[in-house]
Amino acid sequence: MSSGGSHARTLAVLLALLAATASAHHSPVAFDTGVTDFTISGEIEHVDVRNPHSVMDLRVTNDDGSATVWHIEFSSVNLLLRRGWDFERLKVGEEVTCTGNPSASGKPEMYMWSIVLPDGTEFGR
Amino acid sequence: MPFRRRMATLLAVVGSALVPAFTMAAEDAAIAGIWLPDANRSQRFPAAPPFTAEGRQIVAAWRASHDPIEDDPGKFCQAPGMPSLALGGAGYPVEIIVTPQQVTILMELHQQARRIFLDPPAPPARPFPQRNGYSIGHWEDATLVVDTIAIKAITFGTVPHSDRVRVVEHIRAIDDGAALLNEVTINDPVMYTEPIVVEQYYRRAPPDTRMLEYECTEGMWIDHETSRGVAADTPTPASP
Repeated sequence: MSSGGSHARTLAVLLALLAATASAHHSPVAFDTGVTDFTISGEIEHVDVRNPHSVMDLRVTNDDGSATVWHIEFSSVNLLLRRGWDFERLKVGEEVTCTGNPSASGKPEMYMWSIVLPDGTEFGR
Repeated sequence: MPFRRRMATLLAVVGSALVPAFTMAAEDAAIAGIWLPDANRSQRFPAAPPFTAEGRQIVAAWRASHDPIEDDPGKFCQAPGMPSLALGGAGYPVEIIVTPQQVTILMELHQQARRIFLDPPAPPARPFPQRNGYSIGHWEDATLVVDTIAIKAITFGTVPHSDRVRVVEHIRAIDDGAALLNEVTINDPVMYTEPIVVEQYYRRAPPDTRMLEYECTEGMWIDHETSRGVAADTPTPASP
C-alpha cells in the first residue's frame, strides 16, 4: 500500500473516531422536541448504555438500497433501569424500530424515547 | 451533697438536656428518606429572570462564546452546583439523611452530595468556594432552614450566578409526609435585581426505591480507550 493510501485510511479512522466521540451527548437543542413520533427501523451496529446519555448506531437501509448509519441518543442508564429496560436484550445485529425526536439540523441522528425489539417487546418511558 | 444525690441530680440535668434533643430529631426526620422530583407541581426558575445589566452581559457573553450543541457542559459531565441543584432534577431521586449535627442530601443526578452543618451558628469567615457552597442549617419546628454561601460563579445550568449568590431554603415535609417542599430563595445582587423564589416539590419515593451510583465520565474513558485501540473494561451493565 502506498503511503498516501495509508494516510488516507488513518485520516478516515481518525475522523470516524472523532465523530463517535463528539456525539456522546447532545444538548436537547440538537433535536426537534416538537416531533415525538419520528420512527426509523434498522440493524443495531453498536450500543452503549451509559450516563449522561446512552448511544446506539443503527444501520438503516434507504429506499434506493443504500445504507445510512444513524446515530441514536437515548436516556441515561439510571433512568432506563427504573423504566424497566433490559439492556441485555439490546443486541448488535438485531432489527429494531426506534421512535423519538428527529435531529433539528437534518443529520441522521435522533433522540430515542422507545424501542421495539424483533419479538414485539417495547421499552419506553 | 451525698454522692447518690449528686448522681441523681447529674442524671436529671443530663436527661433533661437529652430528651428534647431526641424528640426534636424524631420530628425533624419527617424530611428524611428518598424523594423524587415532582416536575408537575414544581415551579421553574423564570425563563426571563430580572437580570441586572451586568448579569445580562455575563449571560450574553457566555452564549456568544459557546455553541449550544458542541460546547454543552452536560456533554462533559459538568454538574452545575447550587442553586441549580436545588431545582429540577428530572427523574433522579434525592436521599435526605438527618443526624443531630448534619443533614446530608445525596442527589443521584451527577452523584452530588450537599452537607448542611447544623452545629455552627455561622459559617467560617472565609469559607472555601465550592460549586455546592457552604451550607449551615437550623430547625424551625419541623422545617429545615438552610443558608448557603461560598458558591463558585457558574454561568451554565438552570441558574446562572455570580460568586456573591446566597441561597436560603425552607425544606419541610407536607401532605402527611407524602411530599416534600423546598422553598428556594436566590439572592444574587450581581446577576439579579431582586430575590427569586422558586418552589420545588418532591414526592416520597416508593418504599423499594434504592439510590444508584451515577458514573458519568465512564463514556469519556471508553472513548479514550477505543481511540487507542484498546477494549475498555466496562461491559454494558446487565439489568436486574
